[in-house]
Amino acid sequence: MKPKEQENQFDFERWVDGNRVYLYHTGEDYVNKIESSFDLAHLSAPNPRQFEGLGSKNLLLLDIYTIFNTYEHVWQRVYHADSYYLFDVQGRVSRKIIVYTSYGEGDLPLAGGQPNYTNVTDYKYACP
Amino acid sequence: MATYFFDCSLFLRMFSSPIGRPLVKSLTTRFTPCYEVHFLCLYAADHRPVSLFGELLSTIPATDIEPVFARCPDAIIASEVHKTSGYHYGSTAGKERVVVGGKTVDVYFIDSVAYSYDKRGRLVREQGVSTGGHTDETFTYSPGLLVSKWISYDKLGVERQVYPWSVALNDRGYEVIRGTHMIMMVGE
Repeated sequence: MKPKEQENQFDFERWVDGNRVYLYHTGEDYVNKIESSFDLAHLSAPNPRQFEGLGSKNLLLLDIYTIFNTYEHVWQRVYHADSYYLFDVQGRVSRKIIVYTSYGEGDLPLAGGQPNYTNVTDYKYACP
Repeated sequence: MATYFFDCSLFLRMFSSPIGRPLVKSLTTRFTPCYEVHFLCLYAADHRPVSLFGELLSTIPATDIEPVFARCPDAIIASEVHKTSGYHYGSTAGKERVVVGGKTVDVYFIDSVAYSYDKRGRLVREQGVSTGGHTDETFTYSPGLLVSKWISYDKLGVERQVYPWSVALNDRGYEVIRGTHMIMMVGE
């Protein structure tokens, strides 16, 4: 696969072996960074919404979300997301569990007011 | 030389029965790309059982167990069910206790999504059901363009919101917008 790396005024991504290991998102007065780790022994589940783009090749294990404090000029960890998986007999992901853990007082995005929460996704497959 | 013939035989008999199959399936784990471990039972790439030392345990014809392990390397996701321990709209539907990372949490049903694809494997419809109603999103492809329409309905089936949108597809399938990119299909 051709290495994917591109930079524009908003985002910078670094891809290694088909996996996005860094994403920097730059706003007017902030910079977010997502640092990701992968399970290289397993392929990721296919994304039904193919038009959203080809995602990382392998299963995501860990995302660490960091924001650059523009006042103190330091990187601060906001939260991390640990991913756990169950597999069916054919080795496909049958369940994905993501545990979001906050480092601070703030709520997590989409958490509905909870500093820590868990999301579960169950998958069913079909042959094309 | 110790083998696990008995365990494999028992396992296969359980797997062949309608009652035992769910139990066995729930306890199976994929171990490596070449071998699968089921209790103490190994399988070769052709799904025939082997001992821990690699000898074939062929008392059960491979043809009998092949359908159980029918593979579909190009499998597509037919549906998803989402649950969360976070905000769940006050509903306790689908409550489930999950042990993960050494902790126990209760998760609740958020929604389920069913996907439909065309013959080229492209998503053409996405239907969601939640505790508050349901959604229906369709996707139409033409050269260089994807047109979509998202409609939400309340519990009574009354249309609440309609959101049409489109996106240009390039040779990588997706217009490069703010660093988002890459897709394999370009329409017809």
